[in-house]
Formats: sequence, C-alpha cells, structure tokens
Amino acid sequence: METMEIVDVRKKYRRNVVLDGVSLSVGEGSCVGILGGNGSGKSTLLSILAGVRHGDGGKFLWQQEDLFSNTKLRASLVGYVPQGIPLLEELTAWDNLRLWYEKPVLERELEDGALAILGVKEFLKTPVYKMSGGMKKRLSVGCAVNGNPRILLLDEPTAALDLICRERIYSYLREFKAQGGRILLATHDVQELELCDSWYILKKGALIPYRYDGNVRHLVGRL
Amino acid sequence: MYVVAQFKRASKLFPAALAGTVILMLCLGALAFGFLQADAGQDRKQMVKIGMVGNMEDSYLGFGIRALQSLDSSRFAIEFRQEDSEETARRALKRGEISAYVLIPNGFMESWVRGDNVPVTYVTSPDATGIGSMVMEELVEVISVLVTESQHAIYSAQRIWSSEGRQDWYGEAEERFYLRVLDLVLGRKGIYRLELTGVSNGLSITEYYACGAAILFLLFFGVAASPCLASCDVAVYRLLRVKGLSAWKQFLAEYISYTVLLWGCYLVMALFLSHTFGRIFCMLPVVMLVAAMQLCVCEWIPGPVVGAPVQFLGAAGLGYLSGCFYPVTFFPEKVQMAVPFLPAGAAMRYAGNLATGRCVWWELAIMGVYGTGSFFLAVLRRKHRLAG
Repeated sequence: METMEIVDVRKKYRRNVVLDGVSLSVGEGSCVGILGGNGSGKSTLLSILAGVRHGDGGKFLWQQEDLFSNTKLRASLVGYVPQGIPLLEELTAWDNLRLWYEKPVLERELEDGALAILGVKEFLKTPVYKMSGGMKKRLSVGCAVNGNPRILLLDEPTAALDLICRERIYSYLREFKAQGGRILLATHDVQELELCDSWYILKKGALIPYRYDGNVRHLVGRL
Repeated sequence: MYVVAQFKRASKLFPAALAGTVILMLCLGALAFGFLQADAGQDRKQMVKIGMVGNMEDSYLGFGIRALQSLDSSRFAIEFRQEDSEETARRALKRGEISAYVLIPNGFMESWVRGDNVPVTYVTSPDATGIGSMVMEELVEVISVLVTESQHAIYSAQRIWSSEGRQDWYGEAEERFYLRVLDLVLGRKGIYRLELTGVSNGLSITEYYACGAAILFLLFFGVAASPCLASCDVAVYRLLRVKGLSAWKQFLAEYISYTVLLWGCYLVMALFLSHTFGRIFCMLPVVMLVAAMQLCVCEWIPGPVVGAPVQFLGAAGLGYLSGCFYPVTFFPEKVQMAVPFLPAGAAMRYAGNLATGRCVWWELAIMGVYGTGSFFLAVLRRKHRLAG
C-alpha cells in the first residue's frame, strides 16, 4: 500500500510562526479536512506541499521518497488548486487546458475522464474573462488534475459557488477518492467537511485532530 | 505550449493595443501640432538672426552690412551678427541661436570689383530653408539692382564721352563694361551656394521625424499593451514553475511573443512612415530593446492601474530627452552629451544612422546593454515574485 506522510513541516514569516512542526498522514482513498480561522496557515501548508512556496523545514513523504527534494515526482503526483484563479484570462478553456494537457489526453479526458465529470466541455470555447466563478473553479480543478495525480491539494475549492457547481466538483472528488486518490482539503465550508474522512484544526501553527459530528457550533468554539 | 499560449494572448491583444497606440499617437500629434502652430506664430513676430563669418574689416563689405542693418528695410526682419569662426557659427546654428550663417570668403569684395564670382556659402538647417529662400530673393534683388545700375553707368559714360567729343574712347571701354556686366549676370547663380547641415547626423527633417515617430510609437505601445500582458495572476506562474517551467523560461516565452506582437504593430506603423522592408527588418533590435524594457516595467509594477501611467511617463520622458519630439540640438550641451547613452537616444541614433547608412555598432552595443539588463532585471523580479 502506498503511503503519504507529512513530517514536521515548518514555516515562519519573520517572527510569526505559521507552521510549527506540522505532521499527518493521509491514507489511500481518503480525504483530510484542514480547518482553521483566517490566517491560521491552511493555505500556506497546502502551497508548501504543492511546491509553490518554500517551507523552512520538514518532509513530504511518498513511499519514503521526500517530494520536497524530488520535484519531478511531486509534479507528477500532486495536483493543486489554489484559492485564486490560476488561469490566463484572455484565453479560452481549451487554450488553458492545453497548457497542462497533451492534445490526445485532453480529448480523452473531455470525453470520459475527470474533465467530463467536471462538465468543462460545456464552456470549452468560452474565454475565461467571460466565465462565471463556478466555471472558472471547475476549470481550475480540471487544470490541476492533469496527468492523473495521486494527491489533490484543494484550497477552499467551492467557496462562493452555487449548488450545481459544487455538486460537479464533489462528484469528481468522490470519484477521485473511489479510485484511491488522497485529498487534502483546506476549508470553512460545512458541505466540504462532510466530504472528509478525518479532520484537523490548524491553530497556532500546530495540527490538532478533531472529530466533526455535524455540530458547527462546537467546531466554531474550537477554532 | 506556454509560448503558444502567450502568442494567442498577444494576438488577442493586437487590435486593441494597436488602436489604443494609434489613438494616443494621434492625440499627441494633435497636441504637438497645436503647440507648433502657436510657436510658428511667435516665430513670425521674431527677427531672423543670421551669422556672418569672414573678414568684415573690409571697408566695402562692412559698410554694406552696416547699411543693411541701419538703412535697408530688411533691418526689421533680419539681424546680422558677427561670428568669430565657422565652427562658432555652426555651433550657434545647432543651438538654434541663429537661423543661418553666411560664409564670406577672403577677398570677396576684391573679386567683385574684378567681376569674378567667388561664391558666398549660405549655411542653414532644413527647418529654416524658408529663411534660405528669403535670403536668396534678397541676393537676386541685389543682382538686378547691380545690373540696372551698371547699365545706367554705361549709358551715362556714353553720354559724357559723346559730349566731350571722345567717341573713340567708348568703343573699347563700353565693350569692357558689357563683358563685365554679362559676366556677372550669366554667373549670378555662382555668387552663392546653399548648404544644408541637417537637424541631426545629416538627416533631413522628414527623415528625422519619421525616426522619432517610429521610436515614439514603440515606446507608447507599452502604455496600451504591456500592462494587459503582465496582468496575469501570479498563481499561474507559480503553478507553471511547479510543473517545471522556470522563471526565466516563462519570461522568455512572454518576451518572444510580445516582441513579435510589437514588431507586427510596428510593421503596420511603418507602412504609414513609408519605410522599406530592409529598414523595417533592421529596426528589430529597437523593437527587442523596447519590448524588454516595457516587460521589465510590467514585471516590477504589475497591473495597469499604476503600470500604465508609469509606462506613459517613461515613454514621454525618454522620448522627449532622446529627441523624438524636438531635435536634440535644442537641448543644453550636457543633455546632448548624455542622450546617446539613453536607451531611446541610442535607438534614435540607430534609426538615424540606418537612414543615412552610417555605422550602427556603437548604438547596437548600448541598446544591447539596456535590453539585456532589462531582461535580467525582469527575470530576477519574476523569481522574487514566485518565491514570495
């Protein structure tokens, strides 16, 4: 069985310690929810794991291989959806996807792959600047899952989206999990929490395990 | 694929950027035309200053000039001033202190007395050729007076000799008179020679402003286009880096596509400036320099809100200092010395030298330094942004 572990990840901005030795492991076909207040370091943790930011220390292990040092392996294993919209505004959905996909793979994915589940085909010829927020987010997820990654890092993927768009993304995430993928999800959203199998609260740089039972008031009290 | 994506972005920006730049250029052109018209009105009210180079100690010539300055009707329009040497006069002309200078050769008056036509050289810049024609008209007037008065002299002499009963004299004397006058009339075109110095590096005023317009077009293109090109979310750059596209590869792709876009737009502009294909091709180094500088500015000041005004001020400032609006000879000597070392100044000289067929290696080297410097500064900034 493949193992994925995050060991002692640290990060500080000047004197402000954001991540103080964060460690956790994610099992096959599971989704881990990272909860926390604004500025608690959720996005920082995901961006460090994705390689977008550099951490001050720690390891990101896949089968005992450190993905922080093996960037090629990380690029092939990890898909990352940041909070912003990492798309080229002037280009169409097709042109944006072509940045990440080879043409035959893209056509296949649009027919019966991840992109089909996300419903990207509906707005393939639409320039990004004309898309709704939901379309952009679905396209961002579509771009992130190129090359069939085994690990997905999602930073509030359905924030401010309508129910239909959410459902499209959730459908894909359920499918991803069913195929043995691992998801690390930074979120505030109750619906997203229900998608997770385990939960952690990130507070003062440390990860605290949490058992979410649908009681939002209790959760808010812990943040 | 990133290069292809950037080309697609550039091609989508092409029409809007071109239209924006043309509108900007038209507005600036109208503004400049308005100022020039106002200036021209001022000029008409000013006296034309003409430098005199030569031995003014000659009594006849000195008397003639003094007579012109104090008695002739031209004294309200023309002011003569003595220059020490031709070099001094040429510098004064370049600085715009005088509109022209007249080079009077040694022994000029003696040659006139002999009836020989030793030419006077009238030196002016192309923007003052109107003065040239004015002075030439004056010279023709002088000649006609000279011929008429000579004829009066001949007829008077005939009458005097007839009344004195010395008809035997005027056969030979009259023949000599006629020959002298004929010599002067036939050779009157040889009494002056017009020499045009050029506004800068021997360029005609049309060529000079064609170069200026081309450089300005490229500089102002950045106002309309480059902020849009650089307004991409930094998250895209970061993800591309994670996927193996380093900062310098990203920037190189953007640079190539932007340079091609800029060159394409210049091509359209060049058709209006009637540049030849060879000339358009040779302007590629200038396009590359401007593209690198504009993208560098966009990289350091991303977003059009602050970026576009900075591009505008940069373009206007560099264009002004580099002589795109006025010939650099209008500026103080120290500024003139610095202009060739400015990026747009080097580009102007490069374009000018191309037009006159002079060597361009020095200008190419300066542009290369600025272009490469801008490129590396931009890559450095991109790296910094990605690391952020």
